[in-house]
Amino acid sequence: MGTFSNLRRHIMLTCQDVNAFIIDYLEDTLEPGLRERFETHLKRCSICNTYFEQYRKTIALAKETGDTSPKPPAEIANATLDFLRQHLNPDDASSRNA
Amino acid sequence: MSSSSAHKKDATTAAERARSLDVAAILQGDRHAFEELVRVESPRLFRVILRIIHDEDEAQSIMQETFLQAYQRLDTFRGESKLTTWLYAIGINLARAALRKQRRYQTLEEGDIEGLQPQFSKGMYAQKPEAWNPHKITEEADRRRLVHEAINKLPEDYRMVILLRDIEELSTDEAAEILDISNGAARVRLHRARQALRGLLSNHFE
Ligand SMILES: [Zn+2]
Repeated sequence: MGTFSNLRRHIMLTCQDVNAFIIDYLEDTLEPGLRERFETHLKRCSICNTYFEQYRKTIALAKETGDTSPKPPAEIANATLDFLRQHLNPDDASSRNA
Repeated sequence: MSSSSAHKKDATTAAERARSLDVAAILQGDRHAFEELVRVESPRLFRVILRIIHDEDEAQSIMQETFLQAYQRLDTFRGESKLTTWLYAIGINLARAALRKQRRYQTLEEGDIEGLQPQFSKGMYAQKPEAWNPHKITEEADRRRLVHEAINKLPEDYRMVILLRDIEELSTDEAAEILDISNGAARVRLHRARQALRGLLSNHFE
């Protein structure tokens, strides 16, 4: 009985289940039992493992495209502040503060 | 695990921001506190908007309009979310409206996204994923350009969720709030978007 339930615990997730749980796994919202079964399946199934690694690599590659900063931050902020000073009446701000 | 390091990073960013922003003063209309908000948030907001509309001049003017509207509408901020989440929602909505006028980019359609999802038969992958060869594209600049182009092919809704969650590393809750969808809907969309992107990249990395 123990062996059987132990076996069931590991074989029950299909590859399709594992695929559907990837996002919850990465968001760390899988309940512990499910998390363990997910990890066990990944260890034993090279197909799911390959897919999962590519999924994670995809996220990393997307992240990498964000590392370029087009303009110096100070320049952007100063231009915005100039714009706001032109468009906001100074009296406006003091009346809001009052 | 990557998920826990992402959490850690979120926490640091939030703490850093909390330190330099006096939200109460901003909400009272304090001009100096608002200027600090501009200094802290404009570089990142500019980057996000630029990624939506791909034009530096227009991105800059949309970002400025965002801060102007935010300042004028401060009394509509209800405090149910973070002030920065509210600010980003204004900016992203303005950017998306501008994008719809532009319509310069030919993007994939829902049917294409469906075609890029893995198919299953009896719970198994109908097609085995081919291994990626990391040496296929060794030049970092080439790789970035390729990935950038692939992201731009995604339909707007999918591109947005990748941009907010994976590139800007906002939490799924924050991304959902900015896009005005539920957390569950954001997860479904994010999963489909990542799988579609993976499919597009596979053409180059296999
Ligand atoms: Zn499997």
